[in-house]
Amino acid sequence: MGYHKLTEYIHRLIRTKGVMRSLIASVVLIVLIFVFSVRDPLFGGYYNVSNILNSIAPILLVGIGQSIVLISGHIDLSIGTTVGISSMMSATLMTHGMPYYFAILITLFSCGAFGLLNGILVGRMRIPSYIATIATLILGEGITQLVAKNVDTAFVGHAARGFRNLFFYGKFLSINNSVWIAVIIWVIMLILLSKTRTGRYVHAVGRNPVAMRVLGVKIDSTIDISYVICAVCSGFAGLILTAELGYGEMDIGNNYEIYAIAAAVIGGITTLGGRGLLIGTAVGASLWCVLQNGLVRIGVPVAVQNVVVGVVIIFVVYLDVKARQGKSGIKRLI
Amino acid sequence: MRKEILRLDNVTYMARGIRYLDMFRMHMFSGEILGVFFMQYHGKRELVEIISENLPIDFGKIYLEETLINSYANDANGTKGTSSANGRVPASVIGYQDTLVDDMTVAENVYLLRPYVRTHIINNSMLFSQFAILADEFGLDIDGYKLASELNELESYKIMLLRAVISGTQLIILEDMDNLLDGEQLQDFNHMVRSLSEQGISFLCVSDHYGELTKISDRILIIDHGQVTSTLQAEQFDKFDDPDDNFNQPVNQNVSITSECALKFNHVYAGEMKDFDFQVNQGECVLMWDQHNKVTDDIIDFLSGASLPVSGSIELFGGLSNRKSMMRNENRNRNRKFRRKFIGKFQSQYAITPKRTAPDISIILGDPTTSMVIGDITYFDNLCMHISTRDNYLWTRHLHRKSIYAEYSKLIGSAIDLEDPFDASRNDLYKMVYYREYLYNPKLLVLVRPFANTDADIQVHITALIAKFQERGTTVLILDNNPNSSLVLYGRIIVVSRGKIVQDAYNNEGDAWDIIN
Repeated sequence: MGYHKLTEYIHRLIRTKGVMRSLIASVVLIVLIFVFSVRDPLFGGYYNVSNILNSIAPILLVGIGQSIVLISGHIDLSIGTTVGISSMMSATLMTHGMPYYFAILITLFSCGAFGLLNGILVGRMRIPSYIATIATLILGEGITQLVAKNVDTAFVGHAARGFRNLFFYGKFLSINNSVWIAVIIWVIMLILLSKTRTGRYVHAVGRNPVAMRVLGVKIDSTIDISYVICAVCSGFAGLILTAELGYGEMDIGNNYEIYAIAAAVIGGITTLGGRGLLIGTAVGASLWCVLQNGLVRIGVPVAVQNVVVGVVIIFVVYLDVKARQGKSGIKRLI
Repeated sequence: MRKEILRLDNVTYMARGIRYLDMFRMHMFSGEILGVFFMQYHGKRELVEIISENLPIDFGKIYLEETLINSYANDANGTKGTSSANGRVPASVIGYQDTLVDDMTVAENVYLLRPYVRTHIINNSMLFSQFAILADEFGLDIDGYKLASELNELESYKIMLLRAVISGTQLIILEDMDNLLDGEQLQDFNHMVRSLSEQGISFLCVSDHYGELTKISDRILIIDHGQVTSTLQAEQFDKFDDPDDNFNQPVNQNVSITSECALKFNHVYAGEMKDFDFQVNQGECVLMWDQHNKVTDDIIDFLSGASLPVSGSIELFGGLSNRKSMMRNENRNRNRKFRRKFIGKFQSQYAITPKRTAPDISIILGDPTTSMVIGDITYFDNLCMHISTRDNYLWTRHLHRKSIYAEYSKLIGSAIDLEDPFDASRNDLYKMVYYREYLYNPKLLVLVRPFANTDADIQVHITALIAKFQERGTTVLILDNNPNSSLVLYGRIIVVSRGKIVQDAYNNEGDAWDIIN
């Protein structure tokens, strides 16, 4: 590629919506890595990097799902419950002797159905998404507790070694499979959002649902698809966490909806809908995990960690708000 | 001697590298109604914002009641322009933005939502009794206890006007009221404006329709490309060559019209719609003049699948009745008694699919440069959005997109390459919206108020775009509450008054022109 074409490409990339905000988050991430590496020489060591990558994987997955729902103009607060359902269902099925590949398929299918329920409540019944997904969060928790009789599952056992290797302990190029699964799903979703009609519709529905309705686009189906994808991504996150733990835990997904929102918003996904890149989600998830890991390693008390994380999120989102206020296009729309 | 209320002295305003106002000079006196007619849209919004929000200007000075409130000269900090109205609101604007709070009463909207309200504890009975006195004084038959959401358009604008007067504003800007109110309402509103001007309130009426300005203004300024080109006194109004008058011959006379039905409403009842019965044949261009703006939203809702009529039926593209869908509807109605009353029966081969627009219909909403543009998607992707509902692989097959690009880049120009559609000019945005539907090639094109908020240049542009559809034989249905600008296009006019069709005339009968005029 010639020099002029390269610079033109870079300029075009920067002008693409969401790239600047992802860049801001990337710069903050690089600064944090540098600071933590200076404070703790072992921060950049193999084991710690491996830990960080393993912790990024489930957060990236839930972040991807939440990003897609946010881009479509809504929100999903039931992600934590979906992760819990995935964990309990897969572990329960495996402890009852089902081969792990069937258990995985049934679990993912069930998560998808749970996501579809969210889609129906939000898209077709027009219940505000934050209300509908809080309701399904509580509903899902209740059902999980009922079915599991309020106890976590037993250890999935050595027979499920295949499952645990597939989703966590197995390695390729010295990186755990959990990371590769997250990366592969991220790439698939990148292609979906940028290259497929569904992806365009997700962006467009979030940006201008009125125009999309008169253009004959199936808005309800688009919302359904976004919630199903979110739920399936959460299902994968649940499987990874279960594989790591070795048993199903009802509360395994606690606070994951917050991690998902943090990863998405830090990475530049706007809460107004229609805008955002999954590259930003990856940066957001990485920033979150690096921050958490780094603060622990340098001995910052937990309470202070929470304060620092909160401040960083406010700072990055504030940059996003200021960037949006400056756009004449937005001003014209308001 | 009349008191001067506003003076703009050689005001120049630039934004984003574009000069919107160029050595703009105007002055207004107390109690005057000054009309401002923009030949183009260029500078219209900017003039309103400069006066109402006191934006920093690039050159010139602005005086309000003979006090300098805005100047191009740098202040002590070197900041461009010094704008200071000393905390006063220079002017109130009444127009597109609804500033009433739906869940508050009329009296609360008038007395509480304005600057310098000092009371902390609200005495409701005093509020309402004060409002009753005020309403009586201005001859308003509006109950102060009514919620703002219950007001109709005319009442809403009258209340906004009242609130501006109560706030002590001496200058009120009326923006495009002819687009926002129908004929009768506008007359009533203008009557109130006239009586307020006699009490010393000044009005600046900004509009794209010269004819409407002549009905209310004492003087009219003609603005061309951001400059005042002439000032007309009342006796000179007839001498101005109204651009709207240039459209005196319909352009669709040679389009072939068939007797096949494109759209038919059979005794439809819904909301304000009463016994709505009309037919549009394929190839026709029909203007539906919704005088009181009662049925336009319902028609759009039916065609876009957002709702169903209470009773009656809607046919699309004639054809044979689809007995299967009729039977399905009958069974559904029989099984669910409560739905029998509320589901309309659709007797068409192309039954309207609930929840989305039928496949062969295109709808372009009013003010499409904002309502129909999808931000954060490139101009070209916006252009392809509707056709993608037919072509599943458009986004993945490069060749499809390449051929569309090759064809439409010649029609649109360099704007097709824009990353942000809002960087395009208004002309280019109109091209995007209309060519999107042209690419889609619908059988029926429905336009909602296509000429609202447009200047003469844009109107010519839109007319040419619509003519392209007519050349193809597309049926065009225009829904408008201000038909003057649509005269050039239609071959038939259907007049709707308060939800009922009162007249249906063809252009060549001469009746249609008499109806408008």
